[in-house]
Amino acid sequence: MSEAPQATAEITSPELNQPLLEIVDLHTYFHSERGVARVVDGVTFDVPRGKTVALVGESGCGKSVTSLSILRLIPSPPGEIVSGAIRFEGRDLATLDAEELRTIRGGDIAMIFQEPATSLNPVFTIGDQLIEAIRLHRDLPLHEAQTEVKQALTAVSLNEPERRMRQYPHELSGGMKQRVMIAMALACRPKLLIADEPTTALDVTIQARVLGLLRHNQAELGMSILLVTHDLGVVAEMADDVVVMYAGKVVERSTAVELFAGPLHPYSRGLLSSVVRIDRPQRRLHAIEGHVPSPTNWPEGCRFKTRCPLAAEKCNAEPPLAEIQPGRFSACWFADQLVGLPPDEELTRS
Amino acid sequence: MIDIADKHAASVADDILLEVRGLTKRFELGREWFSRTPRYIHAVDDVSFRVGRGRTLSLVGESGCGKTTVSRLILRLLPATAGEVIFEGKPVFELPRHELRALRQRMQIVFQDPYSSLNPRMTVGAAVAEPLVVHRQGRGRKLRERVAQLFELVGLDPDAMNRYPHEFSGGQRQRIGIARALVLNPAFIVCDEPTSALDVSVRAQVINLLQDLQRRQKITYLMISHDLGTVRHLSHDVAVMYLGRLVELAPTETLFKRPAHPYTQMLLKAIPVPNPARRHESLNLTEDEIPSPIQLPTGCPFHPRCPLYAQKDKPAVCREQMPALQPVSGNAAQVAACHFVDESVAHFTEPPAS
Repeated sequence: MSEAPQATAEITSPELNQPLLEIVDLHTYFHSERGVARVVDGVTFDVPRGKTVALVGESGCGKSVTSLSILRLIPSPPGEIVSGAIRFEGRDLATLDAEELRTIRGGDIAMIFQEPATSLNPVFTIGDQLIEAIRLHRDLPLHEAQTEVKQALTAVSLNEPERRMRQYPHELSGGMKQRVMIAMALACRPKLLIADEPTTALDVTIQARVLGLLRHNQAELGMSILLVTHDLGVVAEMADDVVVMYAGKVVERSTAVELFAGPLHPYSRGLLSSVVRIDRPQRRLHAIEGHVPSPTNWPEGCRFKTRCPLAAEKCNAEPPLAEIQPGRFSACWFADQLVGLPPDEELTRS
Repeated sequence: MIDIADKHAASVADDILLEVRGLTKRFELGREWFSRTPRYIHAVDDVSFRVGRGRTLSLVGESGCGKTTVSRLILRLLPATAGEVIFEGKPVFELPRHELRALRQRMQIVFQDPYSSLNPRMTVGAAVAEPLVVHRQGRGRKLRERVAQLFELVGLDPDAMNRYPHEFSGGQRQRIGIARALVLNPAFIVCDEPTSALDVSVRAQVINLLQDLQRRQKITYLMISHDLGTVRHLSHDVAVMYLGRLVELAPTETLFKRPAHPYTQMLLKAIPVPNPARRHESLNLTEDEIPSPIQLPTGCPFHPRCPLYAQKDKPAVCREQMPALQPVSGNAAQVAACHFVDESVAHFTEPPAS
């Protein structure tokens, strides 16, 4: 086929207006002797092209399992994607066979993790590992792959790329290793980068550097980023849209700017106001009382009702994730009352 | 240098609980092949500060800056190479064994990871009671009563005493760790990243608890943390460390509003603020990795990463002379180790308030 028709096909393709990734009613369960842990229990959201979506929540909320489900990296058994669709450019990843998945993993969709040390093989040099990753997805002769690797390492501001290529992972600091992982992830020009707590293990100065790099490369490559994190500072720094998860469900979805201006779910409000602020002094911190319930035994109805200052009779029925304002979704029966409320204002039942 | 620390402390409080003078720790690394001189890591180098009773001093800095080593030296969990620590008027390093034992009751520590600092085979009640048993300070019913009292103090149900650590969440475990540190009525607690392993909502609970305890019992804290938000919230004074040395020491609000040392300024700028309207540009670091503590840069150890050094066209003094701590624009309460400190502090512009 000649190139011209392909190009026109791309332009007129309706897919371009569609989000790059659509997750629809995803359920990922883990089976154990103690019962079924419904870790991800009906999660729906989109990742638009070229945008950054942050998946936020505390440990055990299901954010990491959601991100792992996208590339079907859930150990099975005990894990299982029970139902739901994961549409990437219109294809449902949940139904692909192993061969098709392999071409997508590390190709169109790349992933970086919190601990770069565990993602790198200690017995191969940085160069070897990067070259392997590139040639797995792109049919390049060795010397061209080497040039690509050099460029990739330069793109993540690692100095002396040639020397880095000859080094082993243990010779690099944590921040450098994470940048190598980013270089590896970006080397195949992914359309989607899934970053699971990419800077949690790094010092703040290095974190600032890595976040800057991600933003710069995103602009350059036009890729989308799904950022999984518990750090609301990082979310504010990076995200266009935010998906807040609690107890296996999405409780709020919004643009970052609107969310930080006034969340529409009591849990997101609690999260925001319990952050210790660096930019201003505070008298006493607001804490969400209690702790996250266990995934084998979620509360009936609204799962946040056991810790919620607004909890009422009504909350024994599960609230749907409803559009409260254009583009802003909240799964709370009282979300209407939260509209326009400043984020610091303490909630009380009226 | 001690002189300046004196002035600083005098303005802070008269009742000094802990004084650290010229504290230094070198770790020997062994020799290179064919080399006669051993190599050293200068983990802590000539650190001096004072902490008043009932106050909180935070030690901050990037990983590897020596903040944790300082706390281990103070508690005499590691032998110091040089310097001294005076606690309640007593020289900690010179105390004989039996006096050290008595002293250890007055100084306690809360660790970062509540998962690994509790014995999984011991009920949490026994874990909290253990220090009392070790120091022969109670048995039988009295012991149980004391433990129950502490459970209530840290906000746990005393009925949970007979359960095991795995039955508790991270935040609850950290409360157990705090109860255990409090059981001997210490005057001083080292909090080594007490909230880093906790989720945000639970972190706030633990921070509030630490604050309440200080108010009620006049406990003195030395906080080790890289989380500057927590530091701003909990401490009265902040000491910033870089490659084993103190580079700035100041009352908390002064430090956050008007940081003097270029390194402190860099740390503060690097922290993402939970406000999308205030996204910052990428940091402009000339050199983003911390140099190896084995081969310290000459002169000011921060000069290879210092934006001011680059901006001022690399003055020789930064490469040649180690700067001493000096008062910042005549204010003795704030000291910083920078040759161009007055210029540096004038240079800092606080981002607009949100």
